[in-house]
Amino acid sequence: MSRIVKEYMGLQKRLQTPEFSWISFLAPVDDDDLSEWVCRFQGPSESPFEGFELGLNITIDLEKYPISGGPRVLFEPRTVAHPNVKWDTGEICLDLLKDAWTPIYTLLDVVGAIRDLLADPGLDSPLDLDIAQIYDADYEAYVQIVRYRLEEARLARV
Amino acid sequence: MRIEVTDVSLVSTWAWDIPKDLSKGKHGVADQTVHMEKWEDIQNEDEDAENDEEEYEVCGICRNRYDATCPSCDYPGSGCPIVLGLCNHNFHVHCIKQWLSTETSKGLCPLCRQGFQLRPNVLINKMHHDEFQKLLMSVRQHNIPMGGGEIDQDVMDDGFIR
Repeated sequence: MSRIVKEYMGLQKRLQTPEFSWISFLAPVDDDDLSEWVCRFQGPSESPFEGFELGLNITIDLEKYPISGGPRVLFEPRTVAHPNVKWDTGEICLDLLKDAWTPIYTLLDVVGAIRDLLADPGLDSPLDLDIAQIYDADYEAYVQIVRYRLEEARLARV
Repeated sequence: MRIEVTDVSLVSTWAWDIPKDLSKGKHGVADQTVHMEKWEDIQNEDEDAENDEEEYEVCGICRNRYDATCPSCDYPGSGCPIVLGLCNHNFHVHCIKQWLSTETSKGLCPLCRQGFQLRPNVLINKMHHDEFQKLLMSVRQHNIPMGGGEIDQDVMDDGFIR
């Protein structure tokens, strides 16, 4: 049985455990095609993202996953202002998705690592230089921008 | 009706008998034995496949049980044994070979990121020794310098003399 099918089968049960209570939704767009997934999760507490729900679009290359590469994960475009996220596309810079990938990681691990990244940005090679600079120079201003952008996106969805 | 037999193939099944705490290193290498199980037993256990990860030890790469087929295999026992790593992490031979063939692997164990090598003096590793040595050599050439632990050539060479 392929790894992604294996993950898919046990997933909804695991999502009901307290460990993953912060994930409100993680499922394939179409149950007959495990290559496209969507996820919604609560922003980490004690971070500017607390109180907001974030959306991820996940693409899995079924030929390659998990041996030759992890999933491709994007935030919903133009929602997340963060040093390691490209604002326009939602692209995420996370070593676990690139060089540090190993087939041990699962979709749940990936979503967990992305959530951790929100609370704890990496400033070595930021994707969004402006936000990284603001984060560094004026943390309060950074918080304001993040929350303003998220609020804007939330209103746009209603 | 007349039947002409042109070919006879033997079919057998197998299962690895892995002591629960082998992976934690409490058992000596000598404790490893290979047992045959009744096919019915294996099939019955397969029905609990969904609970695999909680109840049985599984291959960390494909998350299937060690004695189940890995995703590259067509049927149980189609040449899909496990290999034991020196770092105490064990995988289906197909799974770990595919991983070590990728450039991303850098020749490292997917679990602990130490340079992966077969544990020496283990019977079930023996037949894979040459293949892994070649594989790790080629990965090593593609990844200089290596990101993690060096492969201990002495262990690789001396491991299977007995």
